[in-house]
Amino acid sequence: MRLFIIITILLLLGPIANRADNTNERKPVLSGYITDAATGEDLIGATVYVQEIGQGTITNVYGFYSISLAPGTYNVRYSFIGYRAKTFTITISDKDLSRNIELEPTAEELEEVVVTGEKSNANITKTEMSVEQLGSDDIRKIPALMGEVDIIKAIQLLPGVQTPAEGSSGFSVRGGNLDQNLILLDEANVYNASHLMGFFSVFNNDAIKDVKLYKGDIPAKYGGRLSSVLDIHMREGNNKQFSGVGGIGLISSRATIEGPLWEDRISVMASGRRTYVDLFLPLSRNEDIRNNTLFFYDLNTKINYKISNNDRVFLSGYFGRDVFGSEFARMGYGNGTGTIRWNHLFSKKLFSNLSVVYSNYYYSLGTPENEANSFLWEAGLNDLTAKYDFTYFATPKLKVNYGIQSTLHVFNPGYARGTSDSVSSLGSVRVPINRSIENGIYVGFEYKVNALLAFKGGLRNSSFGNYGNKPTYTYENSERVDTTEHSGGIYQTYFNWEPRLSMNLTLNEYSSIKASYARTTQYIQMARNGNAGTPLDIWFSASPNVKPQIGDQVALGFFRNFFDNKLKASAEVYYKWMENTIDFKDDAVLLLNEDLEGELRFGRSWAYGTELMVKFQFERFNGWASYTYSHAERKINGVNEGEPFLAPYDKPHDVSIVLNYEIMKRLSVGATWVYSSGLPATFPRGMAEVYGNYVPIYSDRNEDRYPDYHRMDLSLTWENKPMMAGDRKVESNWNLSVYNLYDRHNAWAINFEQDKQNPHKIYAEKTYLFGILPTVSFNIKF
Amino acid sequence: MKQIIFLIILSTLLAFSCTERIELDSELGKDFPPHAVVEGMITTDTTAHVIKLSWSKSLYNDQEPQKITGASVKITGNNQEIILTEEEPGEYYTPENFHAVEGQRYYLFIDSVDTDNDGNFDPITASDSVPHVEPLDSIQLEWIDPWEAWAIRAYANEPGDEENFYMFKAFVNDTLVTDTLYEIFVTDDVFFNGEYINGLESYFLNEEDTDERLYPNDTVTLKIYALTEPLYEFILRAQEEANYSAPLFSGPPSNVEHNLEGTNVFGFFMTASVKSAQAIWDTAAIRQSGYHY
Repeated sequence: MRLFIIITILLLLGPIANRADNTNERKPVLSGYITDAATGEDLIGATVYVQEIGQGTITNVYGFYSISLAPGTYNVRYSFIGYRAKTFTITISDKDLSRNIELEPTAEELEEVVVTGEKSNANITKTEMSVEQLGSDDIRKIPALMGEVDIIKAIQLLPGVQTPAEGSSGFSVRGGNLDQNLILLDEANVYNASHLMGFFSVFNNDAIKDVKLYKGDIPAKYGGRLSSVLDIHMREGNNKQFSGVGGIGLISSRATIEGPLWEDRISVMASGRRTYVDLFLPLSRNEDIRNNTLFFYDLNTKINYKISNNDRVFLSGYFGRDVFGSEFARMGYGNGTGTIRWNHLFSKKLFSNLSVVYSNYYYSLGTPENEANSFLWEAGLNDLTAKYDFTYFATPKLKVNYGIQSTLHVFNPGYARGTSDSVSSLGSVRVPINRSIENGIYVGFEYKVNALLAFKGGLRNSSFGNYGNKPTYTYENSERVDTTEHSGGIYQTYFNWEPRLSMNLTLNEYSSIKASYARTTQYIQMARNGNAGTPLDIWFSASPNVKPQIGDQVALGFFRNFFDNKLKASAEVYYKWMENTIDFKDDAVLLLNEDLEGELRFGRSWAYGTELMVKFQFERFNGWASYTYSHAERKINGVNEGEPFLAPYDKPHDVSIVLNYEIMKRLSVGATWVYSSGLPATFPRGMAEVYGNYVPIYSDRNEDRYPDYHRMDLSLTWENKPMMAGDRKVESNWNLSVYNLYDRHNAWAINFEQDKQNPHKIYAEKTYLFGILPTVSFNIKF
Repeated sequence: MKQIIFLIILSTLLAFSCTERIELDSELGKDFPPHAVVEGMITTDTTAHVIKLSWSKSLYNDQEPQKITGASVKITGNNQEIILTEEEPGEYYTPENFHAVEGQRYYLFIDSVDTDNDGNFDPITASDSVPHVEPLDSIQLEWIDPWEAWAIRAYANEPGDEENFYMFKAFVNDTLVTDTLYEIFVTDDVFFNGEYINGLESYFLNEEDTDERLYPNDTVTLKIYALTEPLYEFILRAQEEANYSAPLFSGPPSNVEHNLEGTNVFGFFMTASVKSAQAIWDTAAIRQSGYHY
């Protein structure tokens, strides 16, 4: 409570205190935005280095930087990976100075491959570990399934990130569950990041600027999930000139248009994508599915308005839907998000961001209308979040951030009903709506003690409350034994402190040791029993029966750069332990079940591992290679007779190699190779004959494993000669992607079938999804 | 219904997937103890009811399951004690005049079987009660063109004061056609509790199946069984575990819960009340359905 008061005071007085601060003795501040010279896009994480004092800062997620300097003349170097660095001689008088900097991308210089961008050692000096960052260009170079460039598929190639099933767009971080990742698209929570039952993610790479994954050492600013934060930023839109990107691929077409409505002040971006998978269904051998419809589309839009140097407003939105229809069934699902953000500088040292965010997930499932047994089943959730974040650039050594956040969750777990007009034989089933509120309040800091030692840390208080008039139940062995009615107010609350601390010991310019500890809490989770999940999985919250999940993680890392920062090597070890881990009883009924909480089983879980990675960026050759050794186990009362068993994504060995090589000026080749241990599985031991079919009898859970998984993908990109259309340069390329180059038949499912000739013979049969799968796409940019 | 839609979507998604046989560890299940498997149902019909006993086999053993012979099998309930006699190896029959009575609980006792292979006999017991079932008013046949099958639609009253669980079996000219686990249809009453069951699709007679193909003047019989919840769950779960599963949809596999007590046992003892209705596949029915050859 005391912290709450302190932070409230900080929030209220921060701006005022800072104004007072202005009048007193203080160092002048050099601040501004760093943007891309070609498009005007903000550059996130660009470095500002003041040579005379040997210190610097980096831009925040809005491209803003601020550093306090004593009056004098300084050489200030502005740099960012992939951009040509600029050094300015800046004279600071006793007044604050605002300098907005534009950096030229080096990729523009196809003619001379001399400068390939800044080689920064920020990975050594930053107090930030267990973090992976990818730009949309990095992602584009990776060979893609069916030519669909996919952020989540790129994330899965990073160390410590596991793929739940072939082609799935879920991911497990350091042994965690798929629902333990906080996926933010321009601060809006994306609750189901998959299209086409998981084969593609909802993120259209053309609309994305930057992706950052926190696998541990999660800043105090973020909360609500145990395992990771995937922070995705959409592009703001070119504020210099209108431009566009488009592509035609095997299964989808994309188009993005962006440009200034008011040069340098207002820019817009709109990006759309639509698949046409159903065009290929008529080729199927199965005639039942030839007439089915199956497609998805999504639309990203963003407007940003630079009102002044001190105020900027952003409006961004996402909407996507999957549509499926056949003679017998129809289904639709998707996400919608909207974010309004206001950046305001109270002073050159105090940056603030106020956001209001709406997020929605919806699905419906049913049979065609107007049949006697027609039915419709709908479910979904709505989130409304308000948050206010502040960053105070106190001194070059100290940066403080603090803020508050509050989210209303409204979960509709399901409503199914008959829809036919005739006297239907189907009634209705409704699971009551579940309402809750989740709050966070935090303060964090980054402090550089000296050139060698730096700390980052913070404290977050999270709180959660259930409210509404939904009754709650008490369960014994899954049976409802008692009912409590609620009149509408808050009837259950939880509070948790979440300390976070990390440290960086810079050994020299090229190497450092880092350590971190973080506690995270999770109040909402997914009722998901399958490995990869389905669009029908619903979210449910903490409640009188369900305690919040709490995770602690410690990690230690060694970082070493070679060849003038062109090759970056890292080694991290981590150990995680989690309380109130949620699992489900055998054969749990998760859908349309008002007594879902009776199906839950609780326990604890733990995970540990080592992640080794080498990332390199030479003139024509870049990529990374990583190896992860990890284990994840859990012990749940009432599952596997209370004995520990392997977590569903326990894959001890995991190797990823991602290479991109520019063979010649216009031709580049990309290749990936992945290898991992098979997923844990439970195979039958005995077979019992019941009514002429065999029913399996199992021993312990997850005692077996699928065969090892490995696969190689390849892509070739041919850049056409740029054409001129008027004064506009039009660039285009052809991309050939080959998924599963050596046609490995990786098991997606293993079933035990009865032989047709001898029904008493049981054999193992694997289903594999993709053999070798080449695709061609054409991309254009103007 | 949910499962059906899943399967349709799944089959669309997997339009281009392939399956192939694989070799897993051939030792899998070799040292797994054989379980005594009980397949037993008694109903309110008056007839010789059968309890079948067999041994489960290890995963890759491709022989027919061994029958359990020489067991002593006994059913008690409704103040009766019935001794079953082994007429075929592993098949134990009640007398022909036996029928179960609604509202009664019946107990199964099996002895003279060594289930844990220690040289001593281990008893197997189970019990179940007989729920009430409303009579079927009628059944109708309806041609479902895209599936090339005849739907058997059931019409009946449904008591609203309790949760009911039903199982359906279909006969063509007195021959059971729902003769495998996969073909049995079970349902709860969640969508029609207390309302008239107005044409529930209880089974689909598949034209391509020789024993299900209809000829003029064939008689189709549908039997509706009321089950207790544990037995309904057993059938549903057994079907689920025996069926195709995919990581996308299914939870981890797990043993099917059953109502037998004993060491290394599996299966079920079910007591059900039953009613039936018939339809004759005559020209009127054919014309009404819009079916054409």
